[in-house]
Amino acid sequence: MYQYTEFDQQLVEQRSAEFRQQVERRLAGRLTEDEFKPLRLMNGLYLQLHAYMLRVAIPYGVLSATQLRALATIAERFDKGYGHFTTRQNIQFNWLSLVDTPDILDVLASVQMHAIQTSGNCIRNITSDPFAGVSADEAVDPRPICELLRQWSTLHPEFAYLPRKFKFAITGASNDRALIKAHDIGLQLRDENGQTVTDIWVGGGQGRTPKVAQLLYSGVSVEELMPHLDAILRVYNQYGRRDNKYKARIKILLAETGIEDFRATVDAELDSLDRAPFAHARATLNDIMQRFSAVRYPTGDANLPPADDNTGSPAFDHWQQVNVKPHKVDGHSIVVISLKPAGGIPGDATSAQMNAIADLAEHYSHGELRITHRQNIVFPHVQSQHLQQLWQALHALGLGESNIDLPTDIIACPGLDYCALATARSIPIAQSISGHIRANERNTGKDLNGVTINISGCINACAHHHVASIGVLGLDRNGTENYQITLGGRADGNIRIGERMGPGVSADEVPHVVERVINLYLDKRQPDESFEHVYDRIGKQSFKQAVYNEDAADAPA
Amino acid sequence: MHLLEPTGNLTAAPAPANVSLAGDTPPDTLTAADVNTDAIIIEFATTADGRGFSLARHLRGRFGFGGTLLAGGKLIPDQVQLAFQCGFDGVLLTDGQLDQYATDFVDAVKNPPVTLNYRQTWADSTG
Ligand code: SF4
Repeated sequence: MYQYTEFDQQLVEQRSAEFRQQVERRLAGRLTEDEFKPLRLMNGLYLQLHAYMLRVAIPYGVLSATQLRALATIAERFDKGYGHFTTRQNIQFNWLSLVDTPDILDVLASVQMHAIQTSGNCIRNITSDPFAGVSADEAVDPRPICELLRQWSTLHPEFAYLPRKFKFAITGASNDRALIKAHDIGLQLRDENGQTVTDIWVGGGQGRTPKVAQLLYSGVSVEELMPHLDAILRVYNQYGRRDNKYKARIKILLAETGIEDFRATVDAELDSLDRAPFAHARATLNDIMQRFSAVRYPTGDANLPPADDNTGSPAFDHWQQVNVKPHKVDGHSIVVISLKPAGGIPGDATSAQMNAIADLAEHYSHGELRITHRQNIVFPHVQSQHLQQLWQALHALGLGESNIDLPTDIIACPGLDYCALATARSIPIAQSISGHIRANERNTGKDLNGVTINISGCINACAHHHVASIGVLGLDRNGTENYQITLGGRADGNIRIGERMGPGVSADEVPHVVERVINLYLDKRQPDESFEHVYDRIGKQSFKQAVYNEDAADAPA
Repeated sequence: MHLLEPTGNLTAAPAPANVSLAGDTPPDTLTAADVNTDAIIIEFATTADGRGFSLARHLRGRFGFGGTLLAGGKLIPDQVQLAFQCGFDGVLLTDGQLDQYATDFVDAVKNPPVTLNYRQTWADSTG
């Protein structure tokens, strides 16, 4: 994990002190709410339906056991004893009071954490591959570049008041687990003759107008990466629309100007851009790499035994097949811990669970863990011979659920239970779908790997419903919740936007719709055929009939 | 009108600059002739509109503007450091702004809560 320098540490402490002073000025009336709002948002503080919510950055999804314990402490001392992991690898605390927030930021700073730029119209916390550094399909470990860009974007003077929020995702693997093409900027790191180069994808996004990012530049060197990003952001800052918040993201600018014109404008800016701050980009990156404490895996003669795949415990075997992923080092495994237990709230963890997970991470995963965009937790460095012990410990804590990437691994945003922007509930819908499909063994088998269900509580699409196999979007129709169904999306390197079926259905109907859709897929698929492949092959009309439980003749057009 | 300098000194504002640009001026509408002057004021229309910061960098970069660059309009104390870091030489303040924020503007420069900045450090270590 990256260890802060003295400079990094002082910066988060200064920022925390600054926010304390801003809160004081707000309380003393020396800042209006309008003036204070962007300042508090840049520190992750939202005013939600019931209370203030603080979103804490988990930069590129990496956490230490010590940091997780600090989060548990915050939940315990300042909140109602739990936190919510988000689809951008952050954690949110939902029940805070304004006056406590400077103290919370101090707690965070004491463990090399912060809430800087987790909200507001600025460059947000950068997300990445939760298997970074440990997966077999990786060409370049993205974490040092992630940290470099965390530093580049932190308090960037030019880009603190952009037209709208701006999100980065970075991967160095061939399987995209970071959804890079659904971000304002997605970076694909590659190795070219021993040098790290970057492909820059621009203009992806979800929300009201979902878009897949387009390739803007290919093979950019480490030295030129930050100048390119400065130039892209500068063009966006100046030309991005500010008249309509739904049209203010870079994806709309790109759609309106076209990629060629956009590139020409960025090129012109690059020509004259001041490179002085970036002259030592490579040296800076090397320094950053030195500060990532390497995990020393036992190897050589002491070659570790592989996982035992016939243990006589069907429950463990099932968990091992579903929740354990291949590691780049022999004798090791990547373990995903599901935060989607039966009846649970997707992504929620209590203080007690966080403390227990921290203990287990210390014992089994070199004290390190990751957060995934599917709102689960990863132990990246587990010895395969310890898998059964770890599973038993997780099981005892109620964290032994075996459903990673299966239909009950549902992504849900906070929705109307918390979020001030919501038009419908999402958490209770996730719970009722999960409960309903669990009742049918056929709908929970491991052969449903990759059939995803994502539920957003409004058009902002925080739960990424556009890129799920089955997307559910909660809307409000004259005071009644109404759920629109989208099918055939996909969230990996072959990202695609799902198709909307037609009129929404009632909250009660959603679980039945989901069940019928899964059953149709199971009935029609050929061996190993993916959901979206079946969707394309048999067509929208067949799936519409399943959604509306009608014959072809009277399905809504 | 008052002028806040990067040192935190507050002086009487100089005579109005010859060229005043709205912060939202599209850069592609500018020509070298437009900025052929000693001093330019960039006016920030609202606190939330950060276009002026990029316009300043654009003038310094694309046009190689080496004259005096002043920020005017609706900046709050929490933004003046950003302005200086983006290449402004001073921030113009009205009596009203000074009344409203008391000494916060001067404090924001003389006793800034945040003094550290990655970009500055990287630039300082150059050469
Ligand atoms: S999708 Fe809408 S309701 Fe859900 S968290 Fe985002 S803004 Fe809130």
